[in-house]
Amino acid sequence: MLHDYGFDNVWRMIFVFVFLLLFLVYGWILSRREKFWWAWLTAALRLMWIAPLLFLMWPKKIGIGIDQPLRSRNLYILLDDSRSMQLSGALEKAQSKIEILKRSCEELACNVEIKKLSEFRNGVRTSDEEAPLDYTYMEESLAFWLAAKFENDPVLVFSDGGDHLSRNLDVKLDVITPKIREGASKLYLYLGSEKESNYAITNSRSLGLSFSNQKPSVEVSLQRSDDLIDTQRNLQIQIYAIRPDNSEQILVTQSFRFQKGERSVDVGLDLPVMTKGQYMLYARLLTPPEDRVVWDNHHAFMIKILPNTVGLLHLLGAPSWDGRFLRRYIKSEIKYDTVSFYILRDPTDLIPEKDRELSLIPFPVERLFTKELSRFKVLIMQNFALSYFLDQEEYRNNLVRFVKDGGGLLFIGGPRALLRHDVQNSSLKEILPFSEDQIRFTDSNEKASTRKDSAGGPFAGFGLGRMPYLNMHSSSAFSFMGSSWNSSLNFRLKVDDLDDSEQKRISFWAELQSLAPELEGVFPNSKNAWSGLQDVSFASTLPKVKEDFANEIDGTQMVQDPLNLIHAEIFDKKNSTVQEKRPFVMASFPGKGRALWILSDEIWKLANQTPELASRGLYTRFMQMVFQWLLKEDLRPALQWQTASLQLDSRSDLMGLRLELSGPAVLEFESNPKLWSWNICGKNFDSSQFKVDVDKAMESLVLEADVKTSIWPSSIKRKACSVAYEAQSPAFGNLKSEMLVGVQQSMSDEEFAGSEWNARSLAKKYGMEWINSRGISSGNLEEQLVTWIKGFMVGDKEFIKSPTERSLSYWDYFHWLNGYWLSWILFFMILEVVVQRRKWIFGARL
Amino acid sequence: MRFYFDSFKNSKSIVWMCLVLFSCFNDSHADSVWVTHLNSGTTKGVSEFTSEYKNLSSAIKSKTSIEMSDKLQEFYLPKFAQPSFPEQGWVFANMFTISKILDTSSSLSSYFSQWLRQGGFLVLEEDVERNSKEESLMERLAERISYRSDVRARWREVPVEHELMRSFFLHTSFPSCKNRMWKVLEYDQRTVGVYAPFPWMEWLKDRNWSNVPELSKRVCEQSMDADFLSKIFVNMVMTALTTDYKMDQIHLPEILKRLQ
Repeated sequence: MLHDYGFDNVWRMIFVFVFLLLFLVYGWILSRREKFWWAWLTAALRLMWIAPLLFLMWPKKIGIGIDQPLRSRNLYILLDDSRSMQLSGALEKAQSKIEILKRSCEELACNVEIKKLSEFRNGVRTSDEEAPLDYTYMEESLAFWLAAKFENDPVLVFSDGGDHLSRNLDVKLDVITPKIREGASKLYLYLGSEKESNYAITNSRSLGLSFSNQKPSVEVSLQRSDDLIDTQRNLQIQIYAIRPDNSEQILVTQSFRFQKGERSVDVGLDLPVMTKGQYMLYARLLTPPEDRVVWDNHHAFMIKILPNTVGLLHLLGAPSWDGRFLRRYIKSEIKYDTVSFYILRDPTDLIPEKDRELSLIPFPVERLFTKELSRFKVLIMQNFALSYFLDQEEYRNNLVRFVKDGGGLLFIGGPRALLRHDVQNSSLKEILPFSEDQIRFTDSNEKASTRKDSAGGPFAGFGLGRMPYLNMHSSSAFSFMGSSWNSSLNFRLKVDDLDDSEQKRISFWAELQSLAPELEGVFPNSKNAWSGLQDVSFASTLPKVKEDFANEIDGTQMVQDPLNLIHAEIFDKKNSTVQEKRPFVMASFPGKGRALWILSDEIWKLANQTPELASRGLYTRFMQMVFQWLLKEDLRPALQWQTASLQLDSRSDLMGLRLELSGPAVLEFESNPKLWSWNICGKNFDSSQFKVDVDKAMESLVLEADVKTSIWPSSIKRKACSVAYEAQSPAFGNLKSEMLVGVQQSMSDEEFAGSEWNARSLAKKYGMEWINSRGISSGNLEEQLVTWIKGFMVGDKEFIKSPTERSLSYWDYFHWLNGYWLSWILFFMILEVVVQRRKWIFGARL
Repeated sequence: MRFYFDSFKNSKSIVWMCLVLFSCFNDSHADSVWVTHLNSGTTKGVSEFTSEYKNLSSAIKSKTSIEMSDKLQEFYLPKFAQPSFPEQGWVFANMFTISKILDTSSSLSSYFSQWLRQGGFLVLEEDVERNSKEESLMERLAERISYRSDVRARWREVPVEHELMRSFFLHTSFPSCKNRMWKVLEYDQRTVGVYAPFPWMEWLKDRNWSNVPELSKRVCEQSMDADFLSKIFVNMVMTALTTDYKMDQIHLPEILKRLQ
């Protein structure tokens, strides 16, 4: 390929500039003693023949080159040389492919670097003892090898997928994979034996969570090898737990069938009702005689059984953005069993369509507020015109009794809430955190009548004689019922002083803290539990209150002695001065119950307050706190097990430990890991004995270690033992948990021959492309490998730029100045003769 | 107690009727919902409201409990890149605007997709002049929403059992336009967007209200009327504001009975 290394554009510009400068200076000098036009002509003629001489310094170069990378590329190969590979002949097959790759690489100017699996054992294991040759440390070696810096060079693995430990590779796979997939191009070439009859449990799916009044369900995925596909086969699967005495407790046994032609099948199993606690359960395929690989017939999974679900009743006065976001939050919490009723249509609406064309159903107020209310733990009233829709005094009384008897009430405001009648004549006023005197209604100007409706119905106090002034939501008839809501105001949120000496306030925060230890993690300042809301700017509707309401709220004049938790500072946009304070979030304690009053219908805007990737971050955290306080229980544990595995390598006398926990308490781990202690099978460990990985974004903590089994008594070689942690922090107090975990045994290559499923899982876990050699002819396989390596090299961006691809510049049209420089010097030298003999040529005039 | 037609049989309802009639004379400035149009212009701000949807607003107010303004607000793309999000939980955009979002800058597309992930709702309309790259644009948008997320966003044609078909009026199908169907964008088990195969919000403006049959005949080769399109709009507003409320177990038996 031709390569032209002449001037680049910068040098050309410099040259032109210097040339012009010389011309001007020389011309100017000559013009002082010659006639003007002759001086400049002389300068031009002389420089014309001198110029090619200057070009000699930057000659044009033309050469032939081959496109190649700027740096030498490597192809890294990991070769599984385990006994199973030797016995099946796969090792020999792999070596022949490597030879072909070496030849291809020579043509592409790349180097091949080969590592054998047997070279890795000592590097990976903490033991000095060599692991026996008939044990394959596949995953550990692969992880160790891939951790090396390959830059962007391709990596290739030849393996039959055999491993000495049966692992639950799917654990957190989705979380790990995106991190690993970035970077180098990776290929996993599976070299299994042609006939490998195998049934395997590939995965189990459960919500990880269930309730003590429900049967937990789990779905187990199974697959079988290609040579078995043409048969129909009935099999059985079991779910079992391990008791502390090491015996198995079979929870369920179920038959299922692989239909003819079916490679994989999902089996759904209902487990029996279980008591509260966290369980490690195991799925087991009862091994049929033709199954040659038995290690993959087990799969462990964890399930947490919580107390009963929590019943919520959500009443929404009119569809709104606030309603949308609250519903999303409620639906996202599996623990909530929600019954919702939204008023989609007002009694005043005129719809010509017939009922059967609509999806509306009547609001079953009688049933809900006479029979069903006690089933719920929290009632949510959102922008709800209570006095209209709960049109019987009995219903309103039942609502108040529900709260006083220990229920939770979440009141969320809006133009349809806190109508005059709700506050003045309804029994709701018994639990309101303020009195009617502290609220201003749209019709409660100085001249407004306070006459009560003798019927005591929703129109009490309403009469044409004192029609309210219409400054908001006037199209809604609700405003005529004495609405107390302003149109949109601009304000800042202020979390009320947590250092307040008032005992009740201190105990409120302390309780919220104990219920929701993650607050410490979310908000760094321990004193300011809701500081995420501090200074958040808002534009929202608010109830109109007396000017000194915010001050009164801290005093003793309140009806229910509530706590003002967050207030709104309405400010003047121009000079940012605070014009007025109004309550924003209040808590009250009616009877045995609790009520939280959010006096805005636009709290949803918190969802967009922070540029987080997490969906609705601040809003969700706020609502979590609200519901935790109302329910008086911790919905989201500060710390919980994700998985725990104990893998006993009996040949090397090592126990592989892997503990994974999640929850907001994890965020405190790094501040003082010494306060976290661990007990594995009766032996105490401190955190320094583990390799620790804290993922703050995912709130996950992973601890791994390989420990000599000699530290335990011989009883360690049993089916299960307990795993426990105890953690202390000023942020969340003392947390501890214990769980029984099965001990998995290592297997030799003879027991654990190659496995397509294991290989496939490894490839997926480490973000590798996948080729299955089974069913592909040797020639095709070689071709695929060569294409892969060529594709990678050709796709490389770091090549020398080919000059033929360079676009023509203006200067390219003058390249002859380089190529024929001598001719042009000789040609233009005549001009010097013209200069020297000018008087002879042009006469004495010059 | 039933809160629809039969409510008017009692005296309480007559009082309500009077209140509504009275309230019609008042101008509202605090409606909870209005149309926010995502404008591809370069102005860094939000326009004042312009009155464009009096007919539509009346239809919504008279039939539902939603207080919808007749106003249209323009929200300019650079505002998203600041980032600053619309006051409303939804935006209406056309294909051209989506192409600007995806092609102009990564921060703009990042903030826009973040807004959708955090709960925003997109109403995507076909342009009057068809965009030939519409399918790939929609797919790119779905990919952008799913970026760095384990949850995949995807478009699909509106199935008959979707909440959009049932959220208020019971529809059995939506009108297609030159074989293009209505679609919903789903992410994290919720509907985050709706695609309309014709520029219906333009047609529903007051100035075009009476010409909808003619416009639809010209663009979609089938006649539609504004009243029918406004019913689809009602369902869409309900879907945006109440999500899949109508799919709750307590509603389903009654809805299925009516559909039979």
